[in-house]
Amino acid sequence: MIKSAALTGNPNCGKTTIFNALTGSSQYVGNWPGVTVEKKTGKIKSKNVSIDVTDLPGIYSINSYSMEEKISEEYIRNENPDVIINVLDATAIERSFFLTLQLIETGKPLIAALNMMDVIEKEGTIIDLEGMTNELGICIVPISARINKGISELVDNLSNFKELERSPGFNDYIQQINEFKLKGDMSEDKISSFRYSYIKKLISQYVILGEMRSDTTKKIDKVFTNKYVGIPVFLTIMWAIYYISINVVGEMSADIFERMLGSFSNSLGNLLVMIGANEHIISLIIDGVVRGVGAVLLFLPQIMVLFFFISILEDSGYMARVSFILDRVFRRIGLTGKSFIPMFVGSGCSVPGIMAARTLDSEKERKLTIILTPFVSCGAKMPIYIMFAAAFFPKHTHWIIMTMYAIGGIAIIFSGLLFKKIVFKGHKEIFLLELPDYRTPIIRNVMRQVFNRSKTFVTKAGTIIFAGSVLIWFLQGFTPGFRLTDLPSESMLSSIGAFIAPVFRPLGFADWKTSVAFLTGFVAKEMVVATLAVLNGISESGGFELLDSIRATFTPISALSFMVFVALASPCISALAAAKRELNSWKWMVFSVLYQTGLAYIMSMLVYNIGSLFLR
Amino acid sequence: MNRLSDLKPGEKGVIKSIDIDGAIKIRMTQLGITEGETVQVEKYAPLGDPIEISIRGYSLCFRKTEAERIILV
Ligand SMILES: Nc1nc2c(ncn2[C@@H]2O[C@H](COP(=O)(O)OP(=O)(O)O)[C@@H](O)[C@H]2O)c(=O)[nH]1
Repeated sequence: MIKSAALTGNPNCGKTTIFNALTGSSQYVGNWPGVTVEKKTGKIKSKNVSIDVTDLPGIYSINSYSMEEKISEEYIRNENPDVIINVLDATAIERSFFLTLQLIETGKPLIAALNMMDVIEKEGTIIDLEGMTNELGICIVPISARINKGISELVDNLSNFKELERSPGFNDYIQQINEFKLKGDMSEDKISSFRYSYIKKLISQYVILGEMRSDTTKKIDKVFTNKYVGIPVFLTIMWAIYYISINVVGEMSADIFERMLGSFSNSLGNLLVMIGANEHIISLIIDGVVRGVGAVLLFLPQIMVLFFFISILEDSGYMARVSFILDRVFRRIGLTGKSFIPMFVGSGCSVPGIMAARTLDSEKERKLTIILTPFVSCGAKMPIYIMFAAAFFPKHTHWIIMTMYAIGGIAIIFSGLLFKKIVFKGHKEIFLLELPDYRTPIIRNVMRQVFNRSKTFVTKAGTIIFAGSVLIWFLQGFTPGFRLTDLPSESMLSSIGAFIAPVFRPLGFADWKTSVAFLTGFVAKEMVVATLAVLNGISESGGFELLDSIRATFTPISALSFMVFVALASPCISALAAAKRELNSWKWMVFSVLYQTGLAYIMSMLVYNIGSLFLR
Repeated sequence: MNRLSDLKPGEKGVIKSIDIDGAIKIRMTQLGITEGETVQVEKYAPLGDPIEISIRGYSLCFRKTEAERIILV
């Protein structure tokens, strides 16, 4: 009886879709121990089976070159799942079989799921599955995960799993390849060629390729990777995504949410008064928690829409094209087009962005990408930009935000050039990337992705930011001698803020509240807005008049300088932890924080001083 | 000598040898770029580099520096 299974296959083979179909809502998303590659587990539950499924990272082979391959190989060797479910992409069947052969060579029980059958049926391709099954001695289940076809057959085959006989021909192959490996005198690439020559024979025997290959992908690429319009189209798509999520959705949701929050905090206040709560408790709840957490949740709709677009681009196959188009640009700074993906994911959150750097092929690209990715403003910095842009440049919010991204981009280019010359002299990068066919994203997958990512955002609002808001409220309610005070200027917080404030004077904002906001921003970037909301909420009377109080504290120039500092300075503590893990070195991590913060300081000083010359 | 980088979009050739060393060579063979296999150049990126090829029924891209070292029959 099968109790555990590991799901493996090439990138883009449809593994996620199959995993979702198999495990439904029983999924658990975590990390592999010690590393930050996403680990998903779930349970197959049906009539008479209950199987724990672990989703292994998408890989082309198991030779321990990349972290993903190492994880997969070690999992298969050490955890010994009862069966390996190998997903094959029927549209790239030759390449898919390469991993299958390697897996069979390990001698572990294996079942093959041949996915994308709907696509090849349209092409007119015919596969003799029975012949192949008899040849290889593995069960091959045809599947079209997209339309949920074949999933229950896969489950049936898992519950009745038994190992089959190999054909004599395939036994010979296994024997030969084991001899090669044992003798060790055959180079890695010769062994790979040997595998492919066997695959060629297998395909010619059991597959008749159809003639009706769809040319949709080629047609779409005529535009998206076109010599003249490819790059403008890319820029337009990026612009549209930010315009829609920030301006359009932002305007719709901000009003509604703010009113909801206002009336919620009023009725909660009344309720607390009615039940006779202590006035300090009321102030803690309303001024501390509701204000702090609320100010962050206000941005949830915008961030969800942004996550939605990111997922769509990831799922459709366009992302690989962007790497293709931009490789030439990234090469200049010692990276490859693939570094675009970590950086783009980093525009949602730096943590998965830094994690995504694992898919890069060389150590140097990985290090450099990890150091540079935090320059891409993450979703949590968005509320800060939106708030400041709305306070000072309400007509041009999205332009201001685009400018902040552009400044991040300039920092990346500048730093890349610098590092290429100084730190990573003479390294050669590797760029080798599959361009998968375009596929219409599956809404179910996209929504699950949006849900998982938003959950992190909301969880953070409920935990770190909740605790942070309480702490801020507390620190600003007591004097350094632990005496209650109503005057913020007497509070502990103002002493702390005033202590750091001189550091920021050259940047144009020496207010103690702003300094405190920076400190809390180190815990989580959302805390910057939460802190300003809690602190300014106190000095103002009632209502959410955050924007007014920002206008009172900043000038347009110091607001810009502030935003630039936020855009470039050290990321939050979770991103630092991820960077430490991924760089696997304290030295590099500390170096990258000091570098980022130093650059931020210089840039924002420039903005403030040059800006002040023009605008007085 | 006929190199992969000499082909224009749409043209095909058969791989004779791959004069590349190290990790990238191993990666390439794992992805199915092997001697005797037919490749077709699909296109070049808007900025002239990298190159997209199709091989074994799927598309792959890499840089021209690599394409120059893939010798065709
Ligand atoms: N036509 C078709 N498309 C599929 C099928 N399974 C997955 N896809 C699409 O293939 C793409 C990659 O799928 P995904 O599950 O994200 O692959 P992963 O990268 O292996 O996890 C997505 O756009 C899916 O919509 C299938 O059976 N038929």
